[in-house]
Amino acid sequence: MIFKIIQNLKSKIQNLRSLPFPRISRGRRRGRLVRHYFFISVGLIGGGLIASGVLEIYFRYQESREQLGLLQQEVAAGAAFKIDRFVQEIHNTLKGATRSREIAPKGLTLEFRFELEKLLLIAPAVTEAVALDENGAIRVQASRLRTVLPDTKRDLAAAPSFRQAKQGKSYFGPVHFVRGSEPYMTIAVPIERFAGDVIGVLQAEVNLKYIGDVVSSITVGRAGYAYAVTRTGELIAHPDISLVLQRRNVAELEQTKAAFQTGSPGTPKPSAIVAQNLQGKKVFSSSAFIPGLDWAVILERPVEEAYEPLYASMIRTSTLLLIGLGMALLASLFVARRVVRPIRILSEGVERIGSGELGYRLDLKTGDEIEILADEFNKMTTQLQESYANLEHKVEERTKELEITNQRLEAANRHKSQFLANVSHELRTPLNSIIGFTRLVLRKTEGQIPGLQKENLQKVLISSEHLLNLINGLLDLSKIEAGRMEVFAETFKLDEIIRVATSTVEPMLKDGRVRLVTEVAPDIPPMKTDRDKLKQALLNLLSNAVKFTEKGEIKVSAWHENGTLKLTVSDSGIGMKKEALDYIFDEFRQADMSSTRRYGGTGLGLAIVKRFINLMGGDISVESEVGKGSKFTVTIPMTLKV
Amino acid sequence: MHKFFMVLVSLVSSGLLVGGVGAAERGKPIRIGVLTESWGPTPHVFGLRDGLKELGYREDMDFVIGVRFTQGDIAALPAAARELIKLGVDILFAGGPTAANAAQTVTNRIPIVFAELPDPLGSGLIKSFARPGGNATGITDLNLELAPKRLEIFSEMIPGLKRVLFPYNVNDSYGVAEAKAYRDAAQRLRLALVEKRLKTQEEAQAALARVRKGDVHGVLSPRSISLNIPGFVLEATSQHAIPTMFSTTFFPESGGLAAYGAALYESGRRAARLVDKIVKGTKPAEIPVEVNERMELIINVKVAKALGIRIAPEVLYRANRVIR
Repeated sequence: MIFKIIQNLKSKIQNLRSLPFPRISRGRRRGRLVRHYFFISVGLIGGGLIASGVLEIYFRYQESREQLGLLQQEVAAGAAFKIDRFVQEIHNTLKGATRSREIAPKGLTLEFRFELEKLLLIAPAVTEAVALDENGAIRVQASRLRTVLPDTKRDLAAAPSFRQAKQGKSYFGPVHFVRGSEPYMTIAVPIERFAGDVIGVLQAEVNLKYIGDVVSSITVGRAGYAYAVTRTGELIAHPDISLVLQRRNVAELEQTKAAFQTGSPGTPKPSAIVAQNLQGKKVFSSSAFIPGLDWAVILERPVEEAYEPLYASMIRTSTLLLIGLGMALLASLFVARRVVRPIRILSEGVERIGSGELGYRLDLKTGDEIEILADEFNKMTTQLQESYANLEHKVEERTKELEITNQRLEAANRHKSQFLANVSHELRTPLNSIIGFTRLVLRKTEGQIPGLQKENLQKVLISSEHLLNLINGLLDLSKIEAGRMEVFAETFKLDEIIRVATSTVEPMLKDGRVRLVTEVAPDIPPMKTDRDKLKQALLNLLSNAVKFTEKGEIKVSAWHENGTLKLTVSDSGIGMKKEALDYIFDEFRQADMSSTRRYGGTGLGLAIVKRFINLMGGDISVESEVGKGSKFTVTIPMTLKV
Repeated sequence: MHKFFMVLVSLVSSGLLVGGVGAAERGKPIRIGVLTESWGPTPHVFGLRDGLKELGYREDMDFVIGVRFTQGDIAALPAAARELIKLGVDILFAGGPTAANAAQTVTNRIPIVFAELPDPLGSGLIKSFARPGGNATGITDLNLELAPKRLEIFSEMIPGLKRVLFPYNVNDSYGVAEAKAYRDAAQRLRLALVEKRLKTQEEAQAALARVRKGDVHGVLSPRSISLNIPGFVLEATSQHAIPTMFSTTFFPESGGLAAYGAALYESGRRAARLVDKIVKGTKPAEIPVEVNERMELIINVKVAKALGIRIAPEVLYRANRVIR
């Protein structure tokens, strides 16, 4: 009882300890804060870096592309200028030839041929020059290839070249192809005696293959090239002369279309486009228009080469971005760890204090809120430690007191048992005399004393026997409690005991109304335990059953399982209330205290049974229901363990 | 009857044409076999070599050139071409007016690049300038087209030129075509063309040894050097003090009076571009024939003086080169 109180107190202290410090679960949650901080930092820094890097790359791409385009456009414009100048130079040479000294005084004479021959000599691109009079008739001519016989009269009066030049305006003809492959063009200039007085026309055939030399000399990067093209897509000049000679038409190429497109004021022409070239390869292309000739120069450069510096720059930026990102990650990790470390120390300290290490103090010098928190925590722990020390002291005192009380109680209990044993022994002697002499008197006075006396003597006998039983029981109990009851193992057969016990109680059965049935398993081997105590227990159980059974059946069953004997005594008697089952094995207790008076008995029977069975290493249990009967089950080892 | 002067001259490598037969493979130099009826490497060949170098090819490592020349014997050209093919050339380079046709009679598989074909369409070697269509492509110098012009310049250069001798090999189809062109031109220019049909070198030598200044006022040399006719014309210049007109600059440089024609070295140099295209995988059928329009008029004034001729100043003025 006292021990129970102490246990109770201890558990309450335990509860008290755990209350203010909820356990900090370790493991899964560890490091969560670091991750948290880390991811937030990474999100902020990395996100910023990536966003700025991507924007940087994008804008650099746009700028570089624009710059590349402008650069190429510049080169194309240069090429266009050169081509224009080439044609203009021929035109100027022609104009120069018309300014002959003889023209003014003599008009167009055969002497003019000298000028034409000179023209062929100084302008290699001119293959033929013809001087026409104002009617369009050939007057003088010079040619590299053809004979210039005077009889070879061709009438060029209807030709547009003549008609335009005759108006005093220079004529630049469309590109035409000689022998089906070589590009030529006709240039015609008026021959004037003086300004405005046109006396003829000088017409020249210009081999445009020479423009090939102009465009071939234009290079952009390693593989960039330029070519000249007419509005109808005829190639005039290309570094690959074969394409010109094959008369490849490039009208369908995007860059050709773009070259002759005029940008509207709102949307200026892009400086460059990416398109496919004649070979189907992707090229970065810019162009320049030559308005006087209605030609365009197109500049192409393989995309991969044009974008090379762009890609290099992008790779550089990306690399820097990645390095920055890596450094940001490391920095985030470092910062996160730095922030989280004091928190972790705090958490570990709390955990140690929580586990009872109240002397532990947090040592945090962060100089911030966490340090304040740690200090407050240390204060709290100090107070807790003091309170706990007081409590411990009190518990100790109380425990000591209780122990002393306990010892006294135990001594008292021992004395009680001793006293009971002594008293019982002392009581038994005179009681036996009383019983003996009463029986003797009854026997000797048989038929000599009146009925009333006999009846009185019998009452004395019955009461004395009851008293003896009571004393015997008390003696047994006190022996048990004093630890003086011993068990003696001997080998016997169970059915023998059952037979003795049943035959003992049989005379007490309510005649005709109660049947006693035994059901003993035939294969029960001989037992080796305290024969008398087992018999006593069975007898007690049976006499209880007989006592409380008015009608029906009392049944004794026995069988064995794994070296254990199972013995049941069931009846169809008055039964017990549920709450009675808790105390029926206590001393002086019957299920209904009133039943002691009604049914007799000492109230020690079941207490003794239980203690006997326990002494033999077994146990007893009961099932009962009011009005239906009770069933006691005894379980004891077949062989007593010493 | 014909003497075979088959001399193998390797410009760059003596071991050139003894390799295995087969197309040029990566890592192996391209083997170019030159076929010419000349007496040695012509200006085209030097032009070709320089042109290839300009395009970044390294001699000996990237290309080798071997020349087969037949010393005026055009009949020996097909056999020479066969020899070259047998030796495993990758490209045949025709360095004379008839060599390309001779090469085509032998192969329609190995690419033929010509640099001196005077009349590619007329000779049937190509289908068109823009798309040759066969296994031959090259540079043409329009020599045949230029024949009337040459005669015109000759007549303008030599005052009083009325009778002009034109000796040619009747077995040379190009010579025959040239004769026709000159004949027509002479008619229009009101000149008398004295044609001399020749069949052998001996005949040619004898015919030109017999030329007298009173009979003809000048001699026109055929383009082809078959039967060594141009050589004998050249000899006649000094031997008979007779004005001579050639198609190529080599002869006025060597004692002839004048020449009007395309710059051969330039033709060779341009042909290198076509060789490059073939090497890079373009079929000759798809490579347009280019025209070398760079014409040169060369006049050897020294010879003119020796001959006692006064060249008309308008003509002298037009000369691209005057040898003094």
